[in-house]
Amino acid sequence: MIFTSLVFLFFFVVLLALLVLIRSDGARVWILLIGSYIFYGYWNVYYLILIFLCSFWGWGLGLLMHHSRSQAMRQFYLGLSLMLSLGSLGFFKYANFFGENFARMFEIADWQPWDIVLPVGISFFTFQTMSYNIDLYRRHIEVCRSPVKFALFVSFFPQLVAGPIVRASEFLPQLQRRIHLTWDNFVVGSQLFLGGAVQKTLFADYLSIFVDGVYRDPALYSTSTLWLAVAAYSMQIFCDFAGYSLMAIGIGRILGFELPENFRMPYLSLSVTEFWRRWHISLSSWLRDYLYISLGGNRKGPGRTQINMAITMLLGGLWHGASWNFIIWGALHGAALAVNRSWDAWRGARGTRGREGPVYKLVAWAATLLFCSLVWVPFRSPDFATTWVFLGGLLPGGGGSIDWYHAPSMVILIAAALWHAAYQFWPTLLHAMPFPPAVLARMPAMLVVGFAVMLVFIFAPINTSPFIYFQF
Amino acid sequence: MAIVVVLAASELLVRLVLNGPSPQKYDPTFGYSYRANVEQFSAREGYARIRLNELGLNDRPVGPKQGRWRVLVVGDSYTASIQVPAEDNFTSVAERLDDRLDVVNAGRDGLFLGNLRDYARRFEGPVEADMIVYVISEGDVDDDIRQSDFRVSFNPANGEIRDAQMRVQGQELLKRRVETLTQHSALATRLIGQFKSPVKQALRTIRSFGVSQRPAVAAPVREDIVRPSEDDVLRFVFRQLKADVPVAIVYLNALKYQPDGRSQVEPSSRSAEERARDAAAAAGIPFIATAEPLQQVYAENGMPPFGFDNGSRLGGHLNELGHRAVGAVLRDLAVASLERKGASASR
Repeated sequence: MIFTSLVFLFFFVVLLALLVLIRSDGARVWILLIGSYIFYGYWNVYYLILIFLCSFWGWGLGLLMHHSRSQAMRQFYLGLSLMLSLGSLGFFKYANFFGENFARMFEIADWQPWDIVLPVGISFFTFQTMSYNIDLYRRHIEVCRSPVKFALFVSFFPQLVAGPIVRASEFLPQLQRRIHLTWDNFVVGSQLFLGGAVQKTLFADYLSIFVDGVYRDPALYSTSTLWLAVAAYSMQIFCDFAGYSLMAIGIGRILGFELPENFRMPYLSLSVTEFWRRWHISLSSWLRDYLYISLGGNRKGPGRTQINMAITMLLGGLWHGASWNFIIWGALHGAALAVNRSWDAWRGARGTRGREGPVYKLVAWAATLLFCSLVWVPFRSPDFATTWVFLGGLLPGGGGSIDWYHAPSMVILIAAALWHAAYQFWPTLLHAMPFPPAVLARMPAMLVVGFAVMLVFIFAPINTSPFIYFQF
Repeated sequence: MAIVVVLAASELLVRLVLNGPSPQKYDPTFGYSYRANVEQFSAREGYARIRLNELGLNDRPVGPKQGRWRVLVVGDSYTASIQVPAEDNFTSVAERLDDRLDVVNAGRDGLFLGNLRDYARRFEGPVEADMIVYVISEGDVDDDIRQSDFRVSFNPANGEIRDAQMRVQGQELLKRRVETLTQHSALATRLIGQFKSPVKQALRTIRSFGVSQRPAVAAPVREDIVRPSEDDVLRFVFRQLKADVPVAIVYLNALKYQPDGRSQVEPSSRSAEERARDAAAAAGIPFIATAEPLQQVYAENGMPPFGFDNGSRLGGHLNELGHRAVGAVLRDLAVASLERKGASASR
């Protein structure tokens, strides 16, 4: 069930009607939990077993940890919880990848991949469960005694399949107070959803037509077409994922929940470090808090800091999928972060850091954008061979004979550039949205929202393109 | 007021960048046909404004023959060619290549194989055709005869086919109800097109739910019934294509491209071509495939004969290069066929 389908619309209307009619908080939690399970089970009813088990051990081991008096037992429960979460993630997502590489390494000719169906969103809900148990172990949060509320935290449908990754410290306290279904939340949440739908259907889905075509056989296309595809995919993955996140945040808001911001215009970053503060914020902060800091962070000297960063980014790459291409993407970002850190340290020592002029900023922005766009090539390519062909085609004299200047993609890229420019230079223009109910009653706001609705209806390739991040 | 402004702006936007109002009208035989003397605009693939003539065809008004051979070309969207200006489509190209020819484009998007003969019959009289050319592709051969609305009646004793007809699809009856709206509003046309597929899917889901609630009753298997094969059906349909004037079939091959101007025929397109060629031979209809000239287009230009910048670049409909190649094939086919028949024409 994807957000831009009629089935979801029907599901959501029924759910909302039930929540409006039934005012008891306890019953509303149950309705949301059952609704979330229906949403998830719609893909594959067997997935429900896994998410139920994941919730059960996260909650149960958390409770045991809370009640245990010895540190050793707390460590044991945490270890068990991490083992179960990482074990299920490893089995469903990486078993075939490791099996294949193991077989290749030891030349096992008759190795056959296991028939494993990757459950949608497993990378997200296992990370949420782990974060709860780690935070509990670190005594950063209170234990959740209610299995229903905990199960809802793990399976809350708006962000279940593609994030944002929500921390227990952000979500569980919201279940302790009344679930607010207000007109203000509805108006603002609907506009956030609409904003996400515009990004997804008007930008990402149209760009995907071009990008998919080029990546299917990059050897055929000219150098200029391949560069256009680099730009198009950079914008596609951003709009697809940021659009989904915004829709999730909007639905959460309608239901009375605040979900964390996941993107903050990452392509305006002046460095790769800043890019990771703006891109998939919930994942990068998760990796920072639970992996990088656990490895020692920057507390063990500059050399170890670089190694910790590299490990974090490699695993961050692997989180996206069981493929060497994702690992390479993570490694390249890890290397860039290390270079960035050294560069900052060098400039700090010379006393030039913090005094960047406009030319420096422009060059830094362009270099960051170019780097981030180019490393999407291995990320998007289905295999190494495609990556090499694509990168080779980007060089002068490389590439095939076919020019494809996909007109809708070019229009979208221009629109996206204007959108980013507006965010950078006229922030008040965009920050006026979403409109509060009082403002929405006025003509200009009505026109903006009404036209956005029509654009989605007119252009949306309805029921066609699933969200990229579902696969992760 | 805001709603009116938004709707007006949306109508304008759709007319500028997507499509004009629908040129279709309900047709009890074919589901729909094109209205006469209207403009059709489409920018979803290619970008062309075309004027449909007094017969509702993508061609200039049909006048007296003036001693030329008149060739009626019937087919689906590949023939209708709404992606390119009318003067660039393959029927116009064929005319320009040989001034003895007057080629009338009787293409209609979504025309099924089972409807080709009847569609030709509708126009062959008014245009006084000397020859009919059917343009088909893989979809006609592989998909059309498997459509649920394609009904084949046959003798159960020996499998002999009596009739094979494409019925008017249910969606056309629904479209008829909003015809007045879609004929005047580009926005309505677009929105109906947008929601057609999800609504159909939702209805199918509801219907399948209903079915699954009923106890399954296995239909008795009648082993004494001799069913015709798909190839039998294809041969029957091709036999029906024959007319009082010479007929021929042009088959459009789909290509698989390689770097450096090399290309191959898509295997599925090749196998459909072979089936169609066999059926045409059995029906005694001249058959010509376009693989070679289309491959030559790619080899010479480095650009494929199908596809557009605003749609798919490697697939989709014929672009100007492809139309030029197919136009030459059509010219050769028509001239050879008509010369053989000894039809008289003055240069």
